[in-house]
Amino acid sequence: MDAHIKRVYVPMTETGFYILLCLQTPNHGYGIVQKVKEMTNGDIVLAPGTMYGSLSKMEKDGLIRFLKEEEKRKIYTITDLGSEVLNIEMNRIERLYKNMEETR
Amino acid sequence: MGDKKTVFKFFTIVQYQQEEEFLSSMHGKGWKLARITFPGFYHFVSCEPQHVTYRLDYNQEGINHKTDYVQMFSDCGWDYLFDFVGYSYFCKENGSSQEREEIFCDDASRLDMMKRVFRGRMIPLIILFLCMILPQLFMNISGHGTGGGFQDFLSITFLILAILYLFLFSTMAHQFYQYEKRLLPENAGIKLKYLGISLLILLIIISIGIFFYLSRRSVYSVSERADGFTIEAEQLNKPVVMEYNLKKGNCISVIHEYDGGELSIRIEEEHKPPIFFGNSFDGFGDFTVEIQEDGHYRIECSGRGAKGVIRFDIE
Repeated sequence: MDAHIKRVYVPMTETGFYILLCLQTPNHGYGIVQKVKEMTNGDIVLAPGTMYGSLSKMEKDGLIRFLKEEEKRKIYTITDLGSEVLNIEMNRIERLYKNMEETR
Repeated sequence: MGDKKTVFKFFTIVQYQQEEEFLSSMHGKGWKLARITFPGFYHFVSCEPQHVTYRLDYNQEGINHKTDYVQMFSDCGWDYLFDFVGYSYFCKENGSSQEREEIFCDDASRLDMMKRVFRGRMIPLIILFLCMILPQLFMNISGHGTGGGFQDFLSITFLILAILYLFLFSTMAHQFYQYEKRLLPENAGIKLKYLGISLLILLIIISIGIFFYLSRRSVYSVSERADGFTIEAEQLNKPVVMEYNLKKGNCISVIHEYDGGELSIRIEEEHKPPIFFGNSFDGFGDFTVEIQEDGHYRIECSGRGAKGVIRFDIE
């Protein structure tokens, strides 16, 4: 993994994390917005400007790739590089969680 | 209904938040945005006063792939209006909640948008500033060109432009700093970065000042003879005025021993302005001859950027 990816995505924003998490199954931008809303009981509503910007940035950096277009919506899926970055983030958050539990 | 209204308002490319506020307040007063025409005419049509949020996005990629870009916003409840000079305009009716509607939900993506504005708009402006405004400013101040009042006008115009540009650049740097500070408070290096940018801007202003001072300084001497006078100038930037009593048939020949300009000024009739013959070149200075009273003439060499030996002989 090159330095640019590491600098930009480790650690990553909450938006970036949820995008990669959701794209383990192919989905479009608005699908991710709905799924995240559901997962967080409506606390996190991803905004369209943020979503569009993040998706095109991640596609350019090779973390996700474009699959097909359905009803004017672009469907993306995660790449191997994306999965690698997601794994690093999951491990980091897991450690964060464990450390929090220990001091609780 | 069906009333129309046009308002002229100018927002710089970094003032999109002020623009959003302006559009929302107009809609609140019953004026819905219909279109914008260059450079800043906002055309409204009358409507029911409503609380509507307006938001601007700057995304070239989105404009190039308009269908899925607009679809994403409309899925999230935003109406797409149009694009204007790189910005896409969206609006959304405020629901019962008083919460502000946003098209960006984190500072990282807000900063990304500012970076896109910076790359798309600021870099061309900086290039324009460095390659056109600054050289033009220097050239006009140092006296290249036609000289005279028009050049003063150009100097002032470019000076005002340069100040406007510097103001725009520093506003942009400040906004950038605000976002990055919020986003990465632990990043102390950023302060240094913006201090560096401010110092650079200050340096440019100071060098303009020094340049201005140096280019306006005059080093010259004037020697008078019975039949005329000679100006020897390394750099002459202020007027040299001499007065003579001249009669009909007198002729003043002006020779410039620097770039070979030659001029003769003949008094055809007393009490009337003289006639000029010949050419003058760059660095020669401008001349005017005025009648003070009967037969008394005032010769002025405006000396704007003049150089070399300028010899006046009265025959």
